[in-house]
Amino acid sequence: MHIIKNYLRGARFSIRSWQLVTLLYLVHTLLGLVMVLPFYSAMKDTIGPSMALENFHESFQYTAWTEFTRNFSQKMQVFVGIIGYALLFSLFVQVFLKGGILAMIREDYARFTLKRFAEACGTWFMRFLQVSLIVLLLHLVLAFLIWLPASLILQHQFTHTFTGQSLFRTVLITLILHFMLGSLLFLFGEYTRYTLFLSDKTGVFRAFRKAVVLVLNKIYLVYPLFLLLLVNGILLSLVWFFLQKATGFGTGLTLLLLFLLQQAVFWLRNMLRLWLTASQFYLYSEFPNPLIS
Amino acid sequence: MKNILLLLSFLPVTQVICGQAALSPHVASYDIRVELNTEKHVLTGTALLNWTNPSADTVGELRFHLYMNAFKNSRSTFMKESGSRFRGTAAKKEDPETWGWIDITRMSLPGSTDLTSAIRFIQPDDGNPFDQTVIRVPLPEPVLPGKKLKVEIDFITKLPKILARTGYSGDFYLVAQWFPKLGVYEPAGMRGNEKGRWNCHQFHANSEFYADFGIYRVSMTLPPEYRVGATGVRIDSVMNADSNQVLTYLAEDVVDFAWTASPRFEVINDQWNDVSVHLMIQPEHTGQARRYLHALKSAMDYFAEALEPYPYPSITVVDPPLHGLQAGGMEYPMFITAGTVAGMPERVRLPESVTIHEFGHNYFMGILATHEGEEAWMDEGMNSYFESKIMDHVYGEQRSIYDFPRFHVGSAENQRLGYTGMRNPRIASPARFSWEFPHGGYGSLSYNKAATMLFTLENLVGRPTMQEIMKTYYRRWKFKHPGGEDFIRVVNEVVRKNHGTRFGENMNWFFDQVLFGSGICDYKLASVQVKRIQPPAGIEEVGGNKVTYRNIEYSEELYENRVIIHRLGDVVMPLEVKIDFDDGSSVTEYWDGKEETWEYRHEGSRKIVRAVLDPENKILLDLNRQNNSFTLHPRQGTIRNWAVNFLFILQHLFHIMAIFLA
Repeated sequence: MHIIKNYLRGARFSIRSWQLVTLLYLVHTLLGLVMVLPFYSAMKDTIGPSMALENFHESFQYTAWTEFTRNFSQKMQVFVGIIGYALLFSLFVQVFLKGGILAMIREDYARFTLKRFAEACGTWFMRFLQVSLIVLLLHLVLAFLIWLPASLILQHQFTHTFTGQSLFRTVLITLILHFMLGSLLFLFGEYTRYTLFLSDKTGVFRAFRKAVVLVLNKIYLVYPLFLLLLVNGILLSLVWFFLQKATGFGTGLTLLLLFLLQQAVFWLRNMLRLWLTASQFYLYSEFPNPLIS
Repeated sequence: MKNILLLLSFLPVTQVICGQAALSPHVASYDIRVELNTEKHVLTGTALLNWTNPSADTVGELRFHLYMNAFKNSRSTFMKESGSRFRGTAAKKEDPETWGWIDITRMSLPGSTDLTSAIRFIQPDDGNPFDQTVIRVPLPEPVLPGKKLKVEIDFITKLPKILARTGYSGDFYLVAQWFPKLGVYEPAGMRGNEKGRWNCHQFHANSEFYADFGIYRVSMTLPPEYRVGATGVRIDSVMNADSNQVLTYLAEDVVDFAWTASPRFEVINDQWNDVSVHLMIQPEHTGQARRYLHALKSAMDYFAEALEPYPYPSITVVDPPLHGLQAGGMEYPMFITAGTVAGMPERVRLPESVTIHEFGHNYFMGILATHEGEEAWMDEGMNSYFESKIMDHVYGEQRSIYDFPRFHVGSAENQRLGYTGMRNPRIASPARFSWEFPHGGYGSLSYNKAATMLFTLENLVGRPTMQEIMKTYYRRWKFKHPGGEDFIRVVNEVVRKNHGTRFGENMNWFFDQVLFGSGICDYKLASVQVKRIQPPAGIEEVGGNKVTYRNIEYSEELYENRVIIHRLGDVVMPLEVKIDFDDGSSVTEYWDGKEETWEYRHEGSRKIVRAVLDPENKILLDLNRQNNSFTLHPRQGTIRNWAVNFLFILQHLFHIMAIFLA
């Protein structure tokens, strides 16, 4: 019951919080546009007056695509380099927004104001940044711990009685293991933020330990909720897949339609994220003794 | 020429088996008995070589390839050139099983004249004293022109763990380049030689093989659970006193003999006309057997029409296990290795592509028997050209390799892009020894550029003429080891017959540039200009009267149109330029492509809206087709679509990061 109740409560919150959803959507879109506008300009410059891509929307042409990407590759390298920095900058922005999001969730249906949101963002930024760095580090350690033995197993088997099917099975099992442990790390990080937020304390490591214990003790509640929320994302992806297939390779008006659909899907995705965060936050608030002293 | 005639004179007197005349001169035939020790991965064998001096020379020595010694240590020429890597896989130097070698324990003439002590390693290509892939054997008495010589050879071959083409992996064996193999004594006149000589190169990282035709009779002894496929036809199968199987194969008119063994093979037998087809496939790949067989039979159909029907009685296709994939994608007479992985999607036609490619080698490496090392383009290039033609013919142009709704790739375009995508396409010409290609240019130039060159030639002279060229070349030169100049002579002859002097006195200008030269071809449509012009001023004589222009009424505006083309590369090709006007009309202009720049001018009421260089995509050697068109009204739909999708991807990328890290 805990799960469904908080799942529905989180849904209610996310539907009412359209202003917050729109704000998150705009921040992401702005970050994206900073990259895309010069990218578009560089592509336009590369193709120039050539007609090579004119019929690309009617049918894919490998030759035209390859020659364009080759001619574009030097400029592309600059963008690939920038994407790394953009992701880093985005991480800081996302961490910054988290405090505001949690503040809005705690106040439940209270009216959204930019001032209160910004204040909360500033208050929690440094502590949440520490949590993110710990989680990032643990993700790297996890990847190393999982893939190192897996690659040794693969290498050993590869030189002996290995078949393609067993290669597939080994990689699949490793991926599932990585996903399960990785999602646990994600939950540890997320619930650490809730612990800090609810306790209003600064001890990040103590909060992390507390969150780990609570998550592991209540894994039968935490993990199904996480999976339930994951299903939302998968369903949205499926809807998007079929919509995109129906739209095809858009140019002109169909491109406008594609763009509007994409943005609507992304707006919904932000709403799902809020649903996920709110549901988990409400669930965690009901755990016995979720605070650190 | 005299020596060529001498060589040809062997045809009617060669051994006749099963009542059929021999297809080739049987210059070097082998009778080999070999036993495979599956514990030690060692072959112990005896070979009886029967060689006929095909030249007018008196030959005082023999030269043999000992290919397996390329894997003897890291100092062999093969290992040094390859950096002990092959197709991206590195040799495990610390593992003693990585290495392979061949020892000749006895070599003698009948009557016990021992030659063993006279054997000397030589390094005719690079002088590397650590390379033991070629030996020279002085004969006590020289072999006179046309005379036969028999040599008995005992040898031991330790198979390496599969690195390049040959060896073992687990219980899978691909036994190739495994016995002492005689080099080719080329008579004067053959392949442009001024005088007779041994052609017996060391084993190089990029080089493949070249040998004389002969009859191979090979008996192999190995444990009974092993399933075997080989060059030729199995003519005997018995169990010996040790309960091992003894299998005997016979192959006529072939230049090599390879075989495979594994207890895990599933064997699927099929038929193409009178040819027995054997597919030795991994159990986990049996679902793909239909794909292999369809590709193989399609290639056999195509070659039968384009050149001649496959002349041998059998063909064996080997599907190696995943751990032995290094043995995949290799060609031997009547025996090819392909390759796939479990779950290969139907729309990814890599097994088909490799099967067609390797089968095609039977015509170029096997029947024409060109020199794969010295003139790789004649084998790999021509074969890649046919591979692409067959792939595109059978599976569809622009979708024969990858065939997904929004991503599809054709074989011919893939060949071209393999060449045009080189970092430095000027690095070398395709016509050079395969081990002399610098910095990895071998594949792109001898496969991709050579195939693209032939496609461009076909587009220039027309498909019927190209078909006649290939058919004439094949019929004239099958089983005779042609050289590059022999092919070009056929091209010149057929083009002249069909087109007169339309392309000049001959096609040498084409081959000089793109085969023997390393220049690049790139034409660019530099600009299209439309300028409104004032009506003419002054006075003109009309019917003997002087009339001022201003008294002539112009009902329409006048424009000066210009199309400017630049030749950016060194290679000169004849071109067409299609120019479209705003009234829907168009003109096609012809340019010989010789000058650095060319200009088209038109004055009138029409405005040019776009121009396209080489509108039918004939000059596939043009490195950059993107600059072959120019429009005054560019449509940006495609890149706008990409930009919109890029934004969507970035939004999600930021979002996913936010979920997992923030």
